[in-house]
Amino acid sequence: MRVAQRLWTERDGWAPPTGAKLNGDSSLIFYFGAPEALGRADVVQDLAALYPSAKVIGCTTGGEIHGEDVLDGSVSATVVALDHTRVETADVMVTEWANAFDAGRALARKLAAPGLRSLFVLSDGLQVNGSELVRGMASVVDPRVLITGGLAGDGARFGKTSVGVGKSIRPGAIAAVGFYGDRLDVFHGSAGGWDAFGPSREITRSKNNVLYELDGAPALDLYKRYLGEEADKLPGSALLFPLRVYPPGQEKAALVRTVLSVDEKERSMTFAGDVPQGHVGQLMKGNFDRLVDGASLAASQAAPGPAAEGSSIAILVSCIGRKLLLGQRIGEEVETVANILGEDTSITGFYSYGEISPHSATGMCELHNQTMTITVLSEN
Amino acid sequence: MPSLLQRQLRAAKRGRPDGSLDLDALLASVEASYLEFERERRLNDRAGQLMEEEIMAANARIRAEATETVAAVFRGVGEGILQLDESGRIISANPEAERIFRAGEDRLRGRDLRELVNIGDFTVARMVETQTVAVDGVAREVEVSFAPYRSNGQPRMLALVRDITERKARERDLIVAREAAENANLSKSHFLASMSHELRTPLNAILGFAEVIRDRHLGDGVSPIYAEYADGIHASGKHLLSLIDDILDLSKIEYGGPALNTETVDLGALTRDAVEMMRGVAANKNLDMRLVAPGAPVTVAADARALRQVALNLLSNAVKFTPPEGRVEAIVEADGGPKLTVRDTGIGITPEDMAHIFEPFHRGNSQVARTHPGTGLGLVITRKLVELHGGKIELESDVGHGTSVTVSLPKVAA
Repeated sequence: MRVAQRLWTERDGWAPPTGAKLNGDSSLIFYFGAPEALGRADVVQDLAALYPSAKVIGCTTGGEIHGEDVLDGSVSATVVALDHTRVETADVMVTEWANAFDAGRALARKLAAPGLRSLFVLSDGLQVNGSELVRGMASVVDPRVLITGGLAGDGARFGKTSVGVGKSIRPGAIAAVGFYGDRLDVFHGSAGGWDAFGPSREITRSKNNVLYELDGAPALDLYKRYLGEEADKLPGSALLFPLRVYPPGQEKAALVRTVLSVDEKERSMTFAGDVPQGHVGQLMKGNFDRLVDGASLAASQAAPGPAAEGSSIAILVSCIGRKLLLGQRIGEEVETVANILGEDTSITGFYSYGEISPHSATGMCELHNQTMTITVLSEN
Repeated sequence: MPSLLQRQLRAAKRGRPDGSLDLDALLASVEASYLEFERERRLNDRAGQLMEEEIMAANARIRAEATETVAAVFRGVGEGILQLDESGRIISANPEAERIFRAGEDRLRGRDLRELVNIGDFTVARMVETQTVAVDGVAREVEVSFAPYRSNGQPRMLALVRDITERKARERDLIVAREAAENANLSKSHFLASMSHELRTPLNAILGFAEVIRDRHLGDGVSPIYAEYADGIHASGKHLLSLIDDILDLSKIEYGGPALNTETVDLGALTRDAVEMMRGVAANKNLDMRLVAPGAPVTVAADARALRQVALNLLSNAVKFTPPEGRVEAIVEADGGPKLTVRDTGIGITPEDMAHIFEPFHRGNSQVARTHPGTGLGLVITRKLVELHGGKIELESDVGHGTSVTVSLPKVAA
């Protein structure tokens, strides 16, 4: 595997590549960009034109991760030349399916073929129930196929997210790349670092990913109380207090959920994944040290083994909530990850509205929120 | 240099081809980072403050609920509950305790429980049945138990007092009623036993004199018709005597059972004796009478006289109900426990009669009763005797073809 990276900025356009010389070989391009940058028709088209043989997949972000830097308003592109692995891309529109489960199933069917080893999925971050999407995909592929990825972002605005395959990029899309062959190694890690605090509350009224009541009182009122002066920045500011959700008595299977939107009239909150009625919900809070510890833990889980030949690529999907809380200090978590993964690993990624990877306790592929989730690809 | 400042410097140089520093950009990002830091601190402080408030409220609610629940139990439970201090003085009493001790909580408070209940000391984990010491002359019977606990670090005790006065009264009534019933049964048996005895004495005279007349022991001067009457008197007397004997046996058993003189008995030998005793009667009807018994003794722990009576009763029934030329077999077995089976080729027992066969004075259908004289007590006595030995008796019968009666006795412990 050889990897080159390019950065687009408004002032300079696509800068010259850094990293390995690809000599015209290119199999796959990942790009992650600010919504305003990717809103310009030429940015992705120019990139694709530079590497005509490559499959292209990407999405809008809440911040770009490029090497050790966290940027806003840019596009980070990573061009991968795979020597022993075949790749395929596919996409579906969520609006064409009854629900996210069916869309996920349709997407995975397009890529299910002999030798499928891993799927990396990027989904619209606002119109898709990520939990359902992951369940749909997992329902049609061999359980050994690793599914990782994330939900596209839109800064802290939660207005419109887009996902692209090839030269086009559009809202409501779900795209995935499939990796085929037995010489690809996929490593993954996922950790949050948020700490649950305060009372455990019963989810007394909810429907799928819409939460109405905690302990019989409107959930939105509770969030507003805790947010104080930040309440006028909802829904984005709700990410400062993620909700930890687990079935009663099964704390180990807990998932962390974040808010995508709020409904002032219903006093309800829509989360990026399911918040089942009867489950336990508990607020979480973060601080600098604990979040950086979380990123460090995810990196240790995902660090590639010694069998890697050539370079590796690490795709960091980290939650927008972490960036909202830490501001500029968020760069520390990327630096920490880079230090653990080492110089041979090229780093790209983005701040997302949801992360997808296996759960560290259950092993089941899940939608996570508020985590740093890392997928490392290398060839042996 | 802090890594954040390093990054801020790097960002302030980015996009400047000459590597110079964009000072305005640097100052802006440094200022922003101070504000961000402040904001994170405020958020955390606020969260901590609110959480503390929520947890205190939840704590108060849980405490109130727990107190309310305990109070409801304390008020409503049908058992007296008293809180005692370490020395046994009453701190509080619930309404049931007030009722048991016939005194309000204000009068109970401060008193040593041992002044009110007959208990030696506060033995935990043992229930004591005792009496209250009357506060106003009315004592109650109670069960008392103790459970230690701590309240605000102070050792305390709960005394649980259950009023068992009514239950004890009911128990006493039951005992009296049972004794009365037993006494009534005993007097009935006493009466029967003495009556039987009183009846036999004159009957012996009647039988003796009837025999003298019938057999013309005093010469032939008696008219033949008187001799015939005397024979009738004798036959009826004999029947009456056997009836009285049976009643005597039965009442003896009902009285509480004859004292069994248990010894080691060979069931085989005992049955052989019984068969020999019945051989004459059987020969009169030309019956084929057989004994099947193992060579080795079949030992049982039994009263030999009672067991012989069982064997004789079964054999005489078999002989009585088997038509001439028939067969009666006595089979003694040791395998699977000592067993005696008497099998005949007699008239059998109908299923309807089988249902009542062990009832006193039941004699089968009237036809059978007419043609086969007897008291109807034989099988009843037999079964009672078998049961006194801890055994059981089973009947099988095929009407017109025969009956088989099996007596199983407990094995003798080796």
